[in-house]
Parts: sequence; structure tokens; C-alpha cells
Amino acid sequence: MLKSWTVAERDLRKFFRTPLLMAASVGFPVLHLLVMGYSFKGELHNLPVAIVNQDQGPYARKVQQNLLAVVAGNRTFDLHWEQDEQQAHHMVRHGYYRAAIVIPPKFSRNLARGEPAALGLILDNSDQISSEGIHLSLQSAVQSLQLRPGVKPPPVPGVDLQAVRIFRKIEYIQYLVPGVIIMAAFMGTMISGGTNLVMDRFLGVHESYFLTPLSRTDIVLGMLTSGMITTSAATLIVWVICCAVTKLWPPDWLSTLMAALMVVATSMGMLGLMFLAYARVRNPRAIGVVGGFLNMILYFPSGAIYPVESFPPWLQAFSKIDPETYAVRGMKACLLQGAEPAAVIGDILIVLAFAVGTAMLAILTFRRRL
Amino acid sequence: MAPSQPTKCRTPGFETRVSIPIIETQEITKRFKDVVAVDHLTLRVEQSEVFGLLGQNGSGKTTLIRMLNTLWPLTSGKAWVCGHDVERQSTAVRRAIGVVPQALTSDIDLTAMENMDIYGRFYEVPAAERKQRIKDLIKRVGLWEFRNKLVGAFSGGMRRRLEIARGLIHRPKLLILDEPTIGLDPNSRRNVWNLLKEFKEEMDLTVLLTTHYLDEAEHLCGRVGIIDKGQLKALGSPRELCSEVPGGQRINLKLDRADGERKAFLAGIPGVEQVRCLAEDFELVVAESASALTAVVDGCRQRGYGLQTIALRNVTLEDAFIHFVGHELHDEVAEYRPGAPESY
Repeated sequence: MLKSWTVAERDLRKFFRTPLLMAASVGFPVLHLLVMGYSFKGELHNLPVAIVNQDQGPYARKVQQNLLAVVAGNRTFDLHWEQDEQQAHHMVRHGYYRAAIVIPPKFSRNLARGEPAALGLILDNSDQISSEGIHLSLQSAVQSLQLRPGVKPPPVPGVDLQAVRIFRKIEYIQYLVPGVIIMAAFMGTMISGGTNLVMDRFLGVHESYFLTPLSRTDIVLGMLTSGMITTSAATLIVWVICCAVTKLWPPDWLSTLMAALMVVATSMGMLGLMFLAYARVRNPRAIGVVGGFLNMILYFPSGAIYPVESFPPWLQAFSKIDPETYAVRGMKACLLQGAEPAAVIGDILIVLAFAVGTAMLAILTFRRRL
Repeated sequence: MAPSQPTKCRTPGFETRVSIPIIETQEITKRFKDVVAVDHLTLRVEQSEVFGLLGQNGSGKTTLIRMLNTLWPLTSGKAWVCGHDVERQSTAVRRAIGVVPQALTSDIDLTAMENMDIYGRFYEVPAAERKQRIKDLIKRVGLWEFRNKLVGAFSGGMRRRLEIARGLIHRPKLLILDEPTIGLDPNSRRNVWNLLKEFKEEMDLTVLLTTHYLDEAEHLCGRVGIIDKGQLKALGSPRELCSEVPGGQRINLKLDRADGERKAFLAGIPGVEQVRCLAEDFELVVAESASALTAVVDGCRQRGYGLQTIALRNVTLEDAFIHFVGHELHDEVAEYRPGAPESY
């Protein structure tokens, strides 16, 4: 027993002399509560929804009033007026809006005559959670169209909300695939790039590198390149497995190519970030701590699991500077929506800019001397 | 400041030769916060020399090496290696030198051949030449049959030999070795010594090595610098350093007891300049050994002291070290006996 206590004492001494591990053991659970707690199952707010009003009648105005009441009340969505139905449809397809409501030309006249009237709803069903949320909110908003208090609603079944889902049916497990692929890219960086640097430092191998004529650019770019190759390859394998498991095959070859480009860009970005994070780290135990921390704060706020619109403002603000947000969004556009290159290239460029920026910073901050 | 120009030396019995400094330092200092690891050290190592830096752990040897091989910046002073300023021309310095660091730094996840090839490419050795050199070097260090084995499976001695070969892949002018035989068994140490001697002759290498093994310095080095607390305490060939130690020879003896009475007796013998107690042994510094030896033996017999062993020896580098530094080498060295197996 005494010997066991001696072993325990040795471990405790080492633990208390590693401030990073101590901070991680306390900080992680708290961070977990904040990030995970606000990333899942929060109420959806401010989803961008377009409205195309082709009717000037009183019931069309009433529909808009009811929708504005939702905007002012539980704020499930924001309304944006569009003139053209085709344009609204195009913008939903390319991710600018989550849905578009179309009030057709004879909407008020039909209701006034007691005839059935329909409202059009174009839904981006690639995000099942958001589209269901919008659908439910709209249904409740148009359920009752009393023009004035005391005036009876039309004696017809009311308003028929005709929803058009513009993408193929997406199961929740399929919805997770883009995020899982981005997570694979992140996990790949844990076994390459900056991680190798920490291990080289730990084993003393870096000293012999530094004694050669290699410049710091040679060293950093070399490690990033090897990391990019292994990480991208691992991620592509994960992608293929995800396809096989979820039956979410890429819509077309162009989307596949853009998604592959996003995988490479994300790998580069994550490797650059890890290189910066590990710039001065010597203890291999820090690999797990730093990696776990970065994974938590980048993955969950990215919208990979639950829509960003459900986050509180502070987490939404963070998700705007989270490179994984753009990586996940781009991957969703490619894999779930089969988006055109023009719709994805912006996200790819953002992630690439992040990759170049972190790589340059890594080169600048890398210590070529011991 | 600029490095010294080559100087002409006239050695008695030889033709005039040009002395080219391969390493030159002027008052270099390295300070870590409030600790001065190297203190205004000035040194010059000539071409084709085997120069040894001798000092105990923490004396500043590795710090000096790391400043010369560009791994650590100088706090003050100037240093040139192979004619290049170590601060301003660090890449040129690294191209000109081969280094075998104290820690084993070969990549354990690569084979011996892969380790050699990667480093050959770092130094941009052309492919055909690289292939030939790798083959030659691996054979020379006795690792040919293990060339395709992962280095992780190598013993310490094998890794050290591989790292010496790796340090020579680009044919450097200067080979720097930091404690090259630390942790090796006696047989491996001998192998390393022999390799260094052979390579030095064949490649006209200049060698700078640090060691705290006195026999290693005596065996390998043409000149030795004794360093202590970051300062160069003495400089010269092992023979020159030994000649500066007062007293001609040493008598080591073991009596039945090492007490004050016996020490006083030994100190009173004519010709004995100094008596030292080394654990249970005595060491006498004597001006003239034959008469002192006789006096010790006769005196012990007359007084009834049990004389168990007695040996006469010349002044060694260890004596010189104690003389210049004022204390013995670190425990690790004091425990080391050439020929005896070590455990690390």
C-alpha cells in the first residue's frame, strides 16, 4: 500500500507541475458545458426566409402581418422581400435563404370567394432541422387569417401551404456527413504536421534537422506538405466510408471535385493552425490537450451537427470566425445540395486564405534555433 | 572584427606551414538569465587538428558547441567557423560542418539507409554521389548488414556509428562531436575512436569533440582545452598540459588504514611534495620517485603498517585537470574506469 502511495505521489507531483494539464482538467468540462450546451437543441432564430408577394389583396397583407408577428415574436426567421419567384428559388438553392414563401396572384380573391387558396413554400431541405422549423412556424402563422376581430374566416378549409423541397430527401445521418468529413480532416492533423514537430522535439530529433542547411521555410513547408498528403488521404477514406454507410453519394462529378478541393483546403488550414498551436510545445501530452480543445471549439460551433441559427449571439459570432463553419457549409453545399462551383468557391477561398495565413504565421514564428 | 588571417608557423624540424583557423572565437559569452554558461571565451582551432574540450557536466562545453554550430545565438563576442560568421552566415556554417549531437538524434522510424539518404538530400549531395557515399560510409561504420533495419532496433553504439556516418555524408571540413562515446560500452567506445581516427586521416578532417572522459581526450586529441565554469582554464597538447603539473610522478598506495597517523608519516618522507587521500587510498606527489618509493616501503615495514598495494605512475591528464580546475571531474567520470563495463 505504501509503495502504491509512492507511485501515486510521483504521478501527482508530475501532474501539479504541468499547468497546462491542470488548466485543461478544470477548463474542459466547463467549456464543454458552454459549447455543447448551446450548440444542440437551442431554438432556431433568424433563419433567412424570402417572401415573394404577387397579390395586393387583404389576405396577402394579413399573411405578411402574421409572418411579421413571428419575426417580432419568437424570431424563428427573418423576412426578406423579393420581387421574382425564380430569383427567390435560385437564392434558396444557393444557400442565401433557407426558404421562400410565395403568395400567388389570386390568393386574396380565392379566399374572399370561399375557394381554396394555396401559399407556395420553397424549402431548403438539405438542413432538415431548419426546414422543419420554418415549415411549422409558417403553418401556425397562416392557420388563422381573420382580417379583423369578429370577422369570420372564410368557410373553406383555409390556406394550403404547398411546400416544395428542392433537394432530394436528406436523413439526419446524411446531414452529419459533411461535418464528419471536416472532423476527419482535423483528426488527421493530430497525427501529422505539428504533432510530428512536438514528437521530434521530445525525442531530440529536431536538433539534427536544425544542424542542416534547411531553412525554417523548408522545415515548416515540408512538414505541412507531408501532413496535407496524409490528412487528405485519411479524410478521403473517411468520406468513402461515410458514402457507403449513409448512401449519400455525391450528386455529380463537379460537386465531388469541389468537395475534394475543400478537403485539401481544410487539411491545409487545420495543419497550419496546429503548427501555430504547437509552435513552442515540447511535451507530447499537450498534443491531446491542445487537439481536444481546438476540436471542441471549432467543430461544434461550425454548424456540423445543429444549425448555427440556433446558437446564442456570442456563439454565432464565434462561428463566423471559425474556419470549420465555412468548410462545413461548403461541404454541405457540395454533398447535400449539389451546388454549382460558383456557390462553393467563396467558402473554399475563405478556408484557403486561412490556410495560407496560418502557414505564413507558422513560418514566421517557427524557431529555427533550439 | 574579422577572423584572423592564415598564419605561417615554423615548427622545428619541419618546413614552414600555413596555419588556417577552422574555428575562431573572440571573447564569446552565453548568458541564460543570470547564469553565465560561457564567459568571454577566446579559442582558435587550426585545420586538420583534433581538438578536445574537456570539462565536467555543466562546464559550458555543450553551450560552446551549440553556439559554434549555430543552434544558439551568442550573447556577445564573435565567432567564425570555416571562415563564416556563425551569427550572420549560419547557413554557410551548417553546410561546412558535420555534427554528431550528444543525444541520439537519428530517426528511429527510418532505416539506416533512409536516414543517410534523407540527410544527403538535405545537403543537396547529387544522387549518384550520394548513393556511393552512403554505401561507403555504412560499410565503414560496420552497419551494412543492418542497412535496411529500422534504427529503432539499433543499440546505442550502432546509432552513434550511424550518426557519425550521417555527419560525414556531405564531406564537411569540420566534424563536431558532443560527448561522442557517452553511454557506450568499452568496445563500442574503441570502435568510435578508431572510426574517428580513420575518417580524420582519410578526409583531412578537423575534429572538435567534447568529452569528460580523460582517456578519450588523451587518446584522440592533438590539443585539449580545459573548460570550467564557461572559461578556458588551459590549452595545449595532453603532454604540454601534463608537463605544467608540479611534481614529477605519482605513487598510489593502499594501507591497512587511511588515518591521520599514516597520512602524517607519508607527508614526512623526503621528496614527497603532497599527500592526497582518495577514499581508502593515498596518492603521493613526488619529485623523485625511486628514493620515495623505497622510503615508503621501508617506513611502512618499520612502523608495522600493512602495505597492501603500491604503484608508480606518470602524470596524467586527470592530474592536469585537477591542477587547472582545482577539483576532480564529476562523479560520473570519477566512477569511470577504462576497460570496466559501464551501465547507463
